[in-house]
Amino acid sequence: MAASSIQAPSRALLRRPKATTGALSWFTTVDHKKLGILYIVTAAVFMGIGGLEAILIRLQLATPDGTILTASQYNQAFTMHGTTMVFLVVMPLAAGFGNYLMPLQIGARDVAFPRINALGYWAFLTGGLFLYSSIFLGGMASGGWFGYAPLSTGDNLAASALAGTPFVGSGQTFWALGLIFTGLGSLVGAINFIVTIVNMRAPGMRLMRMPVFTWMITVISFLLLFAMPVITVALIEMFVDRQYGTSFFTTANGGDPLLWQHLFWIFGHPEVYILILPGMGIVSEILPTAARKPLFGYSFVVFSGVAIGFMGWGVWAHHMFATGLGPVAVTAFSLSTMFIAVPTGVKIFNWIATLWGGAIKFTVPMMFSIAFIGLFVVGGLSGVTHAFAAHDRQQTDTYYIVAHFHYVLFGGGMMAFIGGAYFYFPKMFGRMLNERVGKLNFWLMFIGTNLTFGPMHILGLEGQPRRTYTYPEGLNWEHWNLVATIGSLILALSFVVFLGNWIWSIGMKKGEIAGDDPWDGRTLEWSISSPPPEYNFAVVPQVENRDDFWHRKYTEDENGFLVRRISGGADDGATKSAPTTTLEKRDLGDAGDGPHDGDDQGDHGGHGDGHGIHLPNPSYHPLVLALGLPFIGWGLINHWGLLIPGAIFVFWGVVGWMLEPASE
Amino acid sequence: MKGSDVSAVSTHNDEHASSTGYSNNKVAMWAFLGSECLFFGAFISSYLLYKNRAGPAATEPYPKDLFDIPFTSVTSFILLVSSLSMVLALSAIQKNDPRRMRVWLVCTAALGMLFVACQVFEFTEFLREGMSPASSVAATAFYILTGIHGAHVTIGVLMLLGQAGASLVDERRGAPWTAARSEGVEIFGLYWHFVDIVWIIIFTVIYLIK
Amino acid sequence: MLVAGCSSNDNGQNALKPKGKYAEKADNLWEISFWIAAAVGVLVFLMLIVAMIKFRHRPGNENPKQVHGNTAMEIGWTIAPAILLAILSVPSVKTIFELADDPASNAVHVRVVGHQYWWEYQYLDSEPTDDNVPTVLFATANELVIPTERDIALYVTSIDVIHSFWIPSLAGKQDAVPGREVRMLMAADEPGRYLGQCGELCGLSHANMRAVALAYDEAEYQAWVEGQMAPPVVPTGLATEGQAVFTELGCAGCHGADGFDGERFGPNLTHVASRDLYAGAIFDFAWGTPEGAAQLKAWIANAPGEKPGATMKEYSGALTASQLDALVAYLESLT
Ligand code: HEA
Ligand code: HEA
Ligand code: HEC
Ligand code: CUA
Ligand SMILES: [Cu+2]
Repeated sequence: MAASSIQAPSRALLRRPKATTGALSWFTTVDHKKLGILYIVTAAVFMGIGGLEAILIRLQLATPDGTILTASQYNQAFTMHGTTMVFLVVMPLAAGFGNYLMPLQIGARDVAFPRINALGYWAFLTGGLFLYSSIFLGGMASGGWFGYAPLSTGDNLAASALAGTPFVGSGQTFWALGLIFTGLGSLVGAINFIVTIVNMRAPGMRLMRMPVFTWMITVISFLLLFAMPVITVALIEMFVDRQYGTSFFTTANGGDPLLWQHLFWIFGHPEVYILILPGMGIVSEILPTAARKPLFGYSFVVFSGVAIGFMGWGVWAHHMFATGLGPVAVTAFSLSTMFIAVPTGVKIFNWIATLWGGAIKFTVPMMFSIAFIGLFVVGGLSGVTHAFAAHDRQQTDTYYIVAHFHYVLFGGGMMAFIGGAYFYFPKMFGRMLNERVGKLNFWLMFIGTNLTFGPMHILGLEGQPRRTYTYPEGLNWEHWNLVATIGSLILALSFVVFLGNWIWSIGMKKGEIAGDDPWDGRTLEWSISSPPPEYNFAVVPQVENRDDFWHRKYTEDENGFLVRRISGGADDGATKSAPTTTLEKRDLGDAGDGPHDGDDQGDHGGHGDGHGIHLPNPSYHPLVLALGLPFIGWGLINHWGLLIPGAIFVFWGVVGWMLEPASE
Repeated sequence: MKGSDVSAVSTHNDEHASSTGYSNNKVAMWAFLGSECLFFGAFISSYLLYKNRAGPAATEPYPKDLFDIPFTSVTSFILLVSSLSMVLALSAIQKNDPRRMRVWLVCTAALGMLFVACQVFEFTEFLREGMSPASSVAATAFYILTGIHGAHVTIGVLMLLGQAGASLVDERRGAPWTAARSEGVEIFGLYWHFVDIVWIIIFTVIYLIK
Repeated sequence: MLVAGCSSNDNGQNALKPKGKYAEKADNLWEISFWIAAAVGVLVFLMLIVAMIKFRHRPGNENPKQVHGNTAMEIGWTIAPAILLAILSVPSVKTIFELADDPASNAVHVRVVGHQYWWEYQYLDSEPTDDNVPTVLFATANELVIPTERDIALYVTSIDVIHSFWIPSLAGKQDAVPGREVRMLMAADEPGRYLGQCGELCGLSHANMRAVALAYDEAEYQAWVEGQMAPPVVPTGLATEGQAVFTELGCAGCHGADGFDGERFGPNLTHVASRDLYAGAIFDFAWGTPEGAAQLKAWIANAPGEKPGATMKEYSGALTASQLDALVAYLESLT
């Protein structure tokens, strides 16, 4: 929030970047669509890295006594695999899809705080790069993705000839600071989303008319808002423990290792719903579109999402059933955990009811969505078996848990995002992905998922603990482990096919031109061109209905059957086809003359062709500010001197930001 | 089915359409403060858990043995008064009086600085009496909680001074602030009052409750 | 997919093959939860598959009936799972409390201490409570010896990081958290050898922190206890030399070899030759065999080289072959 408004551009620290196209424009953009694509592409690159780590893990475990990785490399591999997938892949994917779609779905021209939005992305990127810089600076974190203290607060590096050299043994400190930085990005991103959704809906876009995806983004934004500070506090305490020898989480001076677990999981469980709800939102968009039926029980789907968000705060100790909480606490958390199945079940049943009686087109996105339901149910049901606390003490920290969370995270979250990528690709890039290659991609991924993670259920119950770099022969785990490794290679292949499809479509420009509305879509984003113009909506839509765009194309006859409106059509852009009577031109053309109050909105009125629509200008300052973060991190860990460039970047970014008007 | 619950309401100081009638900046500040509640909540919980704990190695005093309640009551009072002057600053600009606003803003900031100075003094006293941040986990939790709060006050002071300065510069340029600009002051006021309330909680929970 | 129902893998470390009453209680719960989950899963899949087949897009049905919802159905599928879960929570809660019950009065009390990367067992004379500090009778490592058909009360703690004590066929896990001591119960019906493994990531050799529970019948157990309580054997011959080396090189600084004299950094070796497995139960002493001696020498000379991150001192160069021979002879004499 900038301190004050200043009209005079002469005071800006950096020349206002002008370009909105070209390579440089990506560094200064404040356009939510471009930021969305940046998030998604960056997440895909991190997916490649996290996936590579997964493949290394699987190769090591393919046979007993594997020798591909050392113990130390293995511990780094799964720690960074989990951390990358959760914080640098799925969360950014949620931010990416949210950024791209949410403003389009609520009929907004931009988000509430475009520059803060950009800061969110750059903090994620610089934080992630900082985290990975540890690979060159003495080794990465190796305490697992939930970094249990006191393993993570101690120096868990084996006595090494390098001890004492700069950074060596600091992997876990990189982890703590890196997650604080990316968390900062998530927090500002969440605030931006909340304000956008609360304040910038198009006229008529009541809350209960919002698309389900936008609703789920709303829920996760609130979850982030309240969960990020908790993990930040835990990470700060971990950082001072490691760096300054305090003892928040070690017994030496009276601390308690379980405090870390409580703080981490108070964040961590809401976090897993942060990871799944956007996927559920995407699926809730794809299913009705492909079944040509409205979402069954819209308000129940929405409210069960909200209920999951609330209940998610009351179950964290189910990750701690084996720590000795005492039977009363265990009972309480066991029961709350079981009952979270109820709102989740409501969603599943409503999705199936949506399909029921529809005219289902098995498009690639639809195949992913249906697979999502099936795989998520498998993962969810194994989750319910964890909730039986007395038996969870057999399951916890075995491959049975690994199976559970890959079914929900990969079979659930990832499948939904890949399906979403096929669904929204034409909107983002104007070309279709190849359907046949997409089907190949789907089957590889579906089979790969089950081959990789299915056997882990058995392995876990047969006693294979997770996070073990090796296992001896003779425990009869080798067959299923080999199957899992083969499955993971199939998964890798499926991602190569996916990437190939992207290249084929837009790299080689072979993809069929999509048109505005390739799927006969239901919500506002399909009413505008593909890719949408910078200002999104030439005329701010006046929303009359849930699934407003659908209702402009279709109506129901007296028996409830679908009837196409004469004037509407799947292939027409809304700006042309939408019945003008339902549109109200808002003339805010003179609004821009009033005094600015600090931050930025692009919601200025305009005229039909988009001319004269006032959009926030690009800015260097979010990037400059975020560039300071890694320097601060390196400085805090190793050398105060490095804090100076960090402070300069931050100061430059903040002051420049405040002196620069959001838009001119 | 005419959409009606949301319309392009324009409040007096908000040029943009806003579905709720509250400006974006204000909603954002509320959201941020919601997040801050959990931030401080987690630190306060850490302290409450640890206030009576020290390891076998620790011989140094606990924070609660060193508290000087009368002194801290005075500093708490200082912070309370600063909230009052913040209110006066807001009411000044709402009455189109940027000069009085600046006076009160600077006054608020000065009280904030005084508070921080007292805190620094308190810390040095504690250190002198042998309670270093690493001496016991109770001490660590105390320093980090009150220190983070002090950092919030400091950031607040910078923002208040920045705002007073910006108003002065604009006035020199012939565009003095009017009531239309009061929302910015109001938003920083929200932050300031929040930090103030957090202190009251810290003071009660940590200093007063034994 | 979810075909883990019955497992034929009798590998000694299988949670699906309970061999004692506490593990059986948990397993009974598993049976219930698994079959209910499987049933719910099958139901959902059936509905999904039927919907997919029946309501495929076909020419002519492009414009299906637009159904927006049905409150009765919503209430139905909210209430039905809730009732099902409420019923299921009865056995679940019951088992939680049963496993937290007090052990029978003839229980064996053992303090289990997690170390990076091995387990120490301190056999206690009585139950530790708020006003009873029990005496440690003797301490062993890696192999937990228990009598059959008696409750075993384990007081699990750790001296460094968090570990988790786990013998799947006898009981579920109990985390070993530094600064806390938590009781867990286990029992074995039959004499036998039950495998286990540390269940919480504890550093480089988490994978090499295995454990074994040896269940003996009562008579055999009592004989074993007597052997452990006996004073250390007085070495003779080469072993005497070994004892001298043991003191000289400072082994005794970390290893108690004369009964239990307070918690030490390394495993108590007073009766080490009565044990089969060492170093987190990953190596076999194979006493008296050349392979066994070679492995043991390699371990003593360079423990971290044999087991990543092992915290025992690395001697390598400081040890001569004859010193090693003597040490092995000494250790072998400690029956
Ligand atoms: C996307 C992320 C995601 C999601 C959605 C979930 C969903 C759930 N999870 Fe999971 N979970 C994780 C990610 C996730 N989890 C991760 C990452 C871990 C491991 C962390 C680590 O240790 O590294 C974990 C670990 C974990 C544990 C700890 C295990 C342990 O370490 O010992 C538990 C324990 O209760 C648990 C339970 C549940 C439950 C009950 C749900 C429920 O929300 C599921 C609800 C869904 C259904 C039940 C299916 C559909 C419902 C119906 C069809 C209705 C009818 C059903 C019934 C009547 C049963 N999870
Ligand atoms: C969303 C989260 C997510 C996802 C998607 C995955 C995906 C995978 N995970 Fe993992 N996993 C976790 C979250 C996730 N995981 C977590 C949280 C843990 C716990 C960590 C811990 O214990 O601390 C874990 C742990 C974990 C383990 C346990 C390690 C252990 O306990 O010792 C294993 C073992 O098999 C595993 C395997 C895999 C595999 C084979 C995949 C595969 O699905 C991966 C397939 C993907 C690829 C192979 C990438 C190929 C991509 C390309 C080719 C495209 C390249 C593109 C560009 C460069 C633009 N994961
Ligand atoms: C720095 C302390 C230390 C010193 C000195 C030390 N050890 Fe050890 N020793 C350990 C630790 C710790 C273990 C357990 C390591 C593990 O299993 O990961 C161990 C394990 C062993 C074992 C296996 C015991 C078992 O039951 O697992 C033997 C045998 C042994 N040491 C012999 C020796 C001998 C002989 C010497 C002297 C030459 C020696 N140790 C010196 C710490 C030490
Ligand atoms: Cu000890 Cu893992
Ligand atoms: Cu959870």
